[in-house]
Amino acid sequence: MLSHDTKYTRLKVRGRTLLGSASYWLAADHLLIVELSSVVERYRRIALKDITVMTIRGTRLFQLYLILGIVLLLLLATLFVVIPSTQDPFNYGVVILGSLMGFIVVALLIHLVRGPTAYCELQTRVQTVRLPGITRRRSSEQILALLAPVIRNPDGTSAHPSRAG
Amino acid sequence: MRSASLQCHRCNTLLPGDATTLPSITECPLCAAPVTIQVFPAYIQPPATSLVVPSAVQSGEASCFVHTQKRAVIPCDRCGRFLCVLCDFPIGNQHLCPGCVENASAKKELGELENHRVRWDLVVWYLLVVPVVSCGWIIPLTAPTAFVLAILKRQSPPSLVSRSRLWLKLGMILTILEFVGFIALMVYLIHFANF
Ligand SMILES: [Zn+2]
Ligand SMILES: [Zn+2]
Repeated sequence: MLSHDTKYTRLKVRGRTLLGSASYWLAADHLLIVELSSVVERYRRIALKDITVMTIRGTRLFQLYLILGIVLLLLLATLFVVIPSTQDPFNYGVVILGSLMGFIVVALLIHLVRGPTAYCELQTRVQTVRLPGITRRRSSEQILALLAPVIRNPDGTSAHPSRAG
Repeated sequence: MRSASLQCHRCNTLLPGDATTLPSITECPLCAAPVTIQVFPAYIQPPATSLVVPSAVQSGEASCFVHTQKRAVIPCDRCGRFLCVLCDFPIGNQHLCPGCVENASAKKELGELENHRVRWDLVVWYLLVVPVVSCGWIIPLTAPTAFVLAILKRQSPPSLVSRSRLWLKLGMILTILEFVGFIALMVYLIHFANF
């Protein structure tokens, strides 16, 4: 296992994907990306000295999800008003609608806390790798801050103050 | 050619600038899409491809096993054949010839060349859990399948990031419990509950 391998240090960035996760492992000369998608674990090794550019690219998904959430919430609120709730206080419709609305409110709050959406790209002369599971500006900036010093100084002659164990 | 890849992700405009000015860009000048750029030394270094030219063998020097007119620079760490710079594949801390690389990758002996592993522990757990939360009547099919799979794949290469061997063993035990539990429930329903 990589966590027992002294050659590798895990970068403290968690990547979540639709059907899995991603983790980032740093060796003296390369970055190893481990991506789990459904039941297959994929490995990508990128030599640090080959990395030419890293970019963080902001996306509009933040606004899109926000609008989508608010529209859904408004729709459900309209239904809430329409449903006659006078007879039975424990109305199934009200319970289902209420919990749906609660779920959306929580999801929206988490979305707001996580901040603007973005993705991070890593380029070499021959390929562009979009870092899996990195979907927010904050996590993109985190991984950029962790990687930039080691890419500039790949053989690690200086200490890695930004590397996390 | 290098700058061609630095495009805006929204409008595909080329982001103007060179290694020193690109990092100061915060958004696309045309569509204002936010972008942060970090440029590394490899961006300005010339490609190293011109270095990989084997030199002609001189008298008294060893020649490459494949290219007999070329000077050998290193022996293969597996078969010992002399290799020129073209035939030398540095993988991890080994130097291998093309034949040994092919053999080793076919036998999955070089971790550096491996690009995926199947998580059989997850397959077994999906087979365990999905019937329980969806249609329980397929348990007599899925539980034995999961059990056989767990037995067959118990020696398969484990995950690099989680304790897949442990999860596989645990899954194996649970498939038996699930199967026995299902049979017991059926027996109960038929005999005692007049189902
Ligand atoms: Zn643009
Ligand atoms: Zn050769």
